[in-house]
Amino acid sequence: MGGNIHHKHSGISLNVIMAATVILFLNSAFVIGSILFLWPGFEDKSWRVGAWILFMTSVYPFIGWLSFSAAVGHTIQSENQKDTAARNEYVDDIIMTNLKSPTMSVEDCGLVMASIVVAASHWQSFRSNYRRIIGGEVPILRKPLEWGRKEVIVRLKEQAKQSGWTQLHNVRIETSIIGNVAQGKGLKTELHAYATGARNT
Amino acid sequence: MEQSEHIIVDNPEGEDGPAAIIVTNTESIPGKTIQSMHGVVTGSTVRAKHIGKDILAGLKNIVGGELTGYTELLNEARHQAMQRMMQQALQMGANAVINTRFATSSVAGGAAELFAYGTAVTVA
Repeated sequence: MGGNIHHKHSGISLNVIMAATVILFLNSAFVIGSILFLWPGFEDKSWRVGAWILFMTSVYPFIGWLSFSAAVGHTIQSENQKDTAARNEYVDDIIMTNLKSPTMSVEDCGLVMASIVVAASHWQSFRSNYRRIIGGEVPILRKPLEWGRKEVIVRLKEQAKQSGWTQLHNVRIETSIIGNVAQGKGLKTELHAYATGARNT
Repeated sequence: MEQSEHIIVDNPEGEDGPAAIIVTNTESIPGKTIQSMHGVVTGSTVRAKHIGKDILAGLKNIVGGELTGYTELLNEARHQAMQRMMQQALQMGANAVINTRFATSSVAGGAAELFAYGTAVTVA
């Protein structure tokens, strides 16, 4: 019961704030866009194209919303992938195994954990909805999850290095969905990796 | 039970100084022998995110990628669950927890339960 009450409360507040932001943005976009588009002085093409996009966004909000999501999301996710690959080079010397009982000689050991919460962008969720009509593989949703797994392994290795471990045994990655499944767009996935760090001096 | 509130298990990963209790997720502790078993120990916590982080995460969700607010929240919660598990192990007189497992489930909308369990043992 307590959880339900909390959820309802947070949902209303969030919706009110989001709606106010969107309405404010759309109103200003409509006014500025139409003034810029109809203003006789603006003969410059680039201005008029920008004004046209602004105006269209105010009429069909999802155009601007999704193109923003696609453009910025693509940039951020590509940067993340490069960053993960670069950081992996520094921790690549750590030995990782999946064995329950390590066969290597070990002197000292302890638990290492790392986790990350990843989400697909609104653009990716939007496209996956259309993919669901015909079915089949959904590569666009695989991309953030694939990156999340790589990132969480790199974080695990970094944690191990910080604690002075040189080996990681019994590495496990768990996946759990947090957030409202029925809502669809707010789907967030938690990836949690844990292992036994060990060293042999 | 009064005593348990005063036991503070710090540096679980042995970052500065020796760890108070050894925690692993392997079936045995390499280089040590198990002398006695005390049974399964558990620790859990249910956490909800506060509204400010919820809004920020909602905005970050537009472009996708990592949601840092939730990552931190779940990390803190998981450490708390682990602390509770370790406290229980100390109460039983164990000095190590082996075969530790974690489970996460979302209960009622905005809240998540984090659960840690393992076997408390005495090693030498």
